[in-house]
Amino acid sequence: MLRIIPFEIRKLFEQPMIFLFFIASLFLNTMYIATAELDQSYLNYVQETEVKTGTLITSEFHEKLSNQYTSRNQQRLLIETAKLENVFQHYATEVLGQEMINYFQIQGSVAEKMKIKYEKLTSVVHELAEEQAALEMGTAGETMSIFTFIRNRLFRAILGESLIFALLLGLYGSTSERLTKTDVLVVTSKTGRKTQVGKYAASFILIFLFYVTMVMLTFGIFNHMYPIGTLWETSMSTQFHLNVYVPQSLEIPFIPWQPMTLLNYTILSIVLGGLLIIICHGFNFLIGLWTDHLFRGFIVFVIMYVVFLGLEQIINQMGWWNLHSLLMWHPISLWKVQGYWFTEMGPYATIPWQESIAMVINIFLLGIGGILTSKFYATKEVK
Amino acid sequence: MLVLNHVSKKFQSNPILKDISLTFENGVYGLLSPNGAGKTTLLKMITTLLFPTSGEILWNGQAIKELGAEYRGILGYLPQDFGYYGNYTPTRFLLYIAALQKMNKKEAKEKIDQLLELVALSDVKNKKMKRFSGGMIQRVGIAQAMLNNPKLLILDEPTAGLDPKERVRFRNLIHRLAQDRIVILSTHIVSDVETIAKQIIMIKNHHLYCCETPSQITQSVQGKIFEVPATYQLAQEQLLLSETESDKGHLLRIASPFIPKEGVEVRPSLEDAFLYIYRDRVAEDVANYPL
Repeated sequence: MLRIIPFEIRKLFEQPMIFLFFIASLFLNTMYIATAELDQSYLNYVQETEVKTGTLITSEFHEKLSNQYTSRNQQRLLIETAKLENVFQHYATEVLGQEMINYFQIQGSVAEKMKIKYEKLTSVVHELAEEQAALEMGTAGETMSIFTFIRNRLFRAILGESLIFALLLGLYGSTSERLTKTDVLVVTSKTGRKTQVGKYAASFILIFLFYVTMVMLTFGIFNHMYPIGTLWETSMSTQFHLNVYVPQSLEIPFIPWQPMTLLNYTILSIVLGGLLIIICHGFNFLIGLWTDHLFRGFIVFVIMYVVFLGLEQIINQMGWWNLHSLLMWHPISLWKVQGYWFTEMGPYATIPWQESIAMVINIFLLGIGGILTSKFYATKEVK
Repeated sequence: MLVLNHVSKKFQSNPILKDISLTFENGVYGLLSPNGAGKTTLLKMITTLLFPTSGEILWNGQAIKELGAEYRGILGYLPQDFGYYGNYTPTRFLLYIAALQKMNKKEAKEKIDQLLELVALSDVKNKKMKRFSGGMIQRVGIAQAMLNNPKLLILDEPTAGLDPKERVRFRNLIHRLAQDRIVILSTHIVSDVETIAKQIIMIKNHHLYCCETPSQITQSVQGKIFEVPATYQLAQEQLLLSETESDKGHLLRIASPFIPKEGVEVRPSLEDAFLYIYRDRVAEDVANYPL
């Protein structure tokens, strides 16, 4: 089997579309970065200043900042950091939970689960209060734009591209021999139908390489164009960074289930994104085996996606919260709520770390799907 | 030894093959039937691409489904519609097939060189196959089918696309190879198997019609084949087999249950028998007419 994998990888590599897709994705990400409009001069100023003032906004910080050379950036930083306090000091997560329940009009057992979830958030808030995470300066007023750009635009773009790549390669990996009419040769060989295991591994390796390379190159380009330096070590829960559920109407502190810095959060997102890609690739590979045709497989995926979106709309309209909370375990939902990963996730989760648990469960389901498909495929006829 | 025991195949509710029982030993077997008779379906069941609806296929007494990889390891197959990767060279393509066949790398390389020599593709072994003619592609197909030195070689319409010279070369090669293996060759071209087949298998109306030597089959139409002048008016019971041009002018080769006026009885060929066996319903009267 191991001997087949390099052949299969090479076969995939030789598809011009793969190279084109990679270049197009990288180009798109570079365009995103180039047009980000982040205030680099202010970022540089804050970074230079924090060497002298420290990264925590305290009275001592204000004193040191006031003694700095007067400039527009200094004035801006003074204004942005004035009257800030440790918001987590007396933060009541139960109140936050109730606010969520009221805002989204969550009812029934889901509302009860939400209350319990927000109660569990208390210990994290205490930790954040002790660490004075809310008082971390980051880049003050620019923190939100930079953090949001990294988390909700840059990483989302990489993940989206990788998921499309995983979808296409998953389908293509399992149906390519049909397209070249070589399926009969493969199936009648000594390796036989088990060749698909090699094809799965090959397409998976290629997707993994795509994802890792895309992450490294995109973040590399970002770091080169916007050297944010120590900002990577800033807590995600700084009060300059909010978790926005509804702009201006429902914006709450960013509270992950464990205190983390931007770097930790990004790494964790990349890991969880990797799991989502495994799921997307795996399920589409299986769809390819069942449908036996690239285009038919793609149609099945589109139908599933559209049905899912329609179902979500109906459920939301009808206020069926039990169904809604069930739907949130679906991989498509996990992709949609990526911006809230590792936080309390508002109405999108009923238990702590739900996205991570859901991802593991989906991988388990993929395993079951794999076993069932192997049983089906072992006796699948090649007409 | 390959044995088919009462094998039937249906697609949904349409019967394709009914109750086929055959035994194969070393030698060439010609599977000779018109298109659509179920030849490819039969071969696909032998190659494990399809599974019988009922009955069983045994290799040396064991069900091929149970033998799995062990059985496929002794199998060589050239499908009717041979697929390939256009961007591959014959060498690279055969290396891939060798990997699928779990062959030793060194042995595979040696075998590939030998086979490419055998099918006269050595000079283009490093050229991309997308530039190859149909005949060249078919020769790559033949090479890949023989790569693992199969004990059971299945060839579905193998001479399609080959020129007359290649066809003869291929026929001789198959004959040579069949000394120590089973070769099942499916075709609707009689000349492909006429001289090399140990036995001819014919399928008619979903059933096995016969599995006999070519001479036994031609014997079945002995005394029924005549040549008549082109001006001859065919009776309802007579069947036109072919038209020929000879020193005597334009002649009709017919199957007739009685001696036609001006007709000359000729030695039947396998093609005559083939056309006679697969005649239409009207001509069936000919067969039933007492000689």
